[in-house]
Amino acid sequence: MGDMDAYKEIFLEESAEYLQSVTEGLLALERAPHDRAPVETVFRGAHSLKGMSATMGYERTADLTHRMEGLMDRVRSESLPVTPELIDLMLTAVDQVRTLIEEESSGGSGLDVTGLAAALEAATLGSGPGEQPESAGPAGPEPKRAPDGGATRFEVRVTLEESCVLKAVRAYMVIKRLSHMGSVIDTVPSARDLEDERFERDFAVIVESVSTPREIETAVLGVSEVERTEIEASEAAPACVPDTSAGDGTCAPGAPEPDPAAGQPSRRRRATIPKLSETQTVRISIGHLDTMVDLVGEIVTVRARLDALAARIDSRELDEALEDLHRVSGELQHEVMLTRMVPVGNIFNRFPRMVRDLARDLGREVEFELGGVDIELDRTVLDEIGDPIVHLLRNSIDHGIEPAAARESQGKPGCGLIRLEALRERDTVRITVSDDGKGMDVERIWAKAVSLGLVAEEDRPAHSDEDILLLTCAPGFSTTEEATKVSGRGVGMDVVKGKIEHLGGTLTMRSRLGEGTSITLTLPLTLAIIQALLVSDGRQRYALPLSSVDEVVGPRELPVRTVDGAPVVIVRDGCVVPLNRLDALMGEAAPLAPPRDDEHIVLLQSGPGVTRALTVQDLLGRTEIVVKPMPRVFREIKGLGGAAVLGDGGMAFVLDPRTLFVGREEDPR
Amino acid sequence: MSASNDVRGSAFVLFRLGDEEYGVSIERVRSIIRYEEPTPVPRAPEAVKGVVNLRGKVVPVLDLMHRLRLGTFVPGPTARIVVAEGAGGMLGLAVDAASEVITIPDDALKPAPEGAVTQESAAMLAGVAELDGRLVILLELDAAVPGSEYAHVGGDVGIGED
Repeated sequence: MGDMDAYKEIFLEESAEYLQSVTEGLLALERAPHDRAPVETVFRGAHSLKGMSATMGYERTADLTHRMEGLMDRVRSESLPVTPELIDLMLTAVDQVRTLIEEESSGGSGLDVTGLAAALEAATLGSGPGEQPESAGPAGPEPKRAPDGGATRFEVRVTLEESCVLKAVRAYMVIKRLSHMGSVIDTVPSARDLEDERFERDFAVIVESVSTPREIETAVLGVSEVERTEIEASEAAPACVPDTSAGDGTCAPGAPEPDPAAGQPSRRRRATIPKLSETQTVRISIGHLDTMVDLVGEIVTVRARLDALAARIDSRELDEALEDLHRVSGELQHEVMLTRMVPVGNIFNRFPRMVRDLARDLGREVEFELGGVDIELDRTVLDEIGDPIVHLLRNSIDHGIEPAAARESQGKPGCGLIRLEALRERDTVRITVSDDGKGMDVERIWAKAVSLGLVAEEDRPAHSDEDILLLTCAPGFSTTEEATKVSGRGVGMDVVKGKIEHLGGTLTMRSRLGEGTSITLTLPLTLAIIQALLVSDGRQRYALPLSSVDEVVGPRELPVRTVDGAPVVIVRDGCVVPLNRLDALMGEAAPLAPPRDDEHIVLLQSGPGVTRALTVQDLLGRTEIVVKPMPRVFREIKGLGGAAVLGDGGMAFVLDPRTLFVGREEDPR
Repeated sequence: MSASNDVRGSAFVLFRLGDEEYGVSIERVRSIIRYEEPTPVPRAPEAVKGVVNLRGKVVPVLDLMHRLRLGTFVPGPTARIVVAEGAGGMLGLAVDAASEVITIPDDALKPAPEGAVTQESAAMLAGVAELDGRLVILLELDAAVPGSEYAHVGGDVGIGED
């Protein structure tokens, strides 16, 4: 089965998708045991997994999924009822299949699933007397045999267009599409030959599917550069494709032996239908996309360099060419960024199962709602926020939702509600985890924070409720003394907050005692390229993300006062905003010096609803920059969010308004 | 000692720092570039001269002279930046000159002489090698990166401290 290696990655991705859809189906079935649609989803999912893993030669996976399919087939034919035990058994099987796939795909063979296999077998036997379960001895599954679920074996003959260049790719796409519709049993020539393009224009795929020939045709013709296809339903062993043009167009070595029991073709249907439409997607490794983003970043930098050159040279032709370059590179950048966007549903969809299991373990009743699953986020951001969200959900179940009895005595419904929702807002995405549980006790948190020495008791009036809630994100803070199985030890809100801030996002909390808690993660839509305001502190250049800049004013436009010796400005709505000097924040300059007449004041958002003022010496204009992460040795330095290469080849550090002022409030004293 | 071809050894990039010759394993070296003045990083420790732009990558440049308590690096006409792959990412070393790659036989490698260096410097040295009368000091790259002392440099004040 060595020739399947190339498909392993694809298999792993697709099997994960099927496992997900089986899980979703089972959870839907648990809520509505009489609904037929999820039964079908689960059955088909198990069936596809069986076929795929058999094709890959993962026999134990194929065996287990075969038994899952068998069990669901009984449910499907309504000879077995949907019980909580059945759901549990199937979910356990899903977990085991996931582990098995990991093991078999990496060549391992340690996991013992005989107990589970027997349990599935017993459940399949269940209440259906007289019916023999399919034998599953050590020989494992028999993927070449048509399954009992009414699937038909088809021989799908495909002819590619004569002009087709990427024959191997097209063949692969056909196989992939067919694998979505059922089990791909074999190909002629072999998968290896197809992969190496050792065929002319024709190849055949043997597939077992419950789909109709017409559906298969549509799927195959949806692949680009397919000239025609012929579909033959048969119980027969795969026949050779008649291939007149190729010298070696006979049965490829390595094709399985024909099944001697199959006999004559029983049904025949031939159809040649012209191609209908082509919509296609390609899987690309994230590494390629990252390289593309880097390269686009370099183009943006070169463009800025050309702009500077053009300003000096003053040539209309050059300006026009540059204008074109701006347009093209702008679109390119946009497109490349889009390729990195992934719907949040990709990670949200694994949470319903987790919430269900946790709620059960803790004896809570929880209804879980998802919202905004189509909202897209940069893949890098999305990959990083899974764990923080898991933590927030766990907190909600463990510390938020009360036991049903306690809830009812407060007049709340016994079943708690947890909602996970994504919302797009300008160039950020807000992800909110909210529950209608017992809420957080601000005064208790305050007392704890005082006893931990995080805050001074007499400062209470200076802290809003939200500020106090955020104290739970301080390292080592936890209001629950015992470490439960769920909340665990060590990982706390401090890690969540740290992770979100590392991604350039913010975390905010709201809570009402007795009513619930809601935690919002505000995340940047994309990383990498941002609009920035270039400033200088007189020694070097810095970039301020334009998204956090409110306003730039001259020192005479805003009255500068002092409060307790520290300069402040009074902004339009009457708010008093502390004024810091960039050269003092970044070096040794006197922090209290008021702005000189030739300096500028930048008003920035340093957090949600928090305005700060910054004195800078020069304004160098607005530009697009590609933010590179700071080398690891500098990560401890607060206030710097990254570095950027400017158009002139020099470097500027990207200021992070959220951490720039941290710890600076007390400095003058 | 028979100088046969199959003597086992490792290849090192040699560079000069003051009057001494140092070596770093060639497997770690990615590039050697002409010295350019790094952009200073505010609030960074003194042993880091700043960062340079190496084909779009932001690479910190270390002042080894400072790290090894030999003074402060002053670039001369032959100055180079040896760009190496450290455990924490790419790292530039400011050196006075770099040109040679040599193979040092395993049996020529010796531990750094005790007492000749401070304990802190000793951690940065993988050993010494004597070759035809030349003494080459071999650098332990990852130990040369300033680590724990970062938090205390740059005058950063944590929230909890009053």
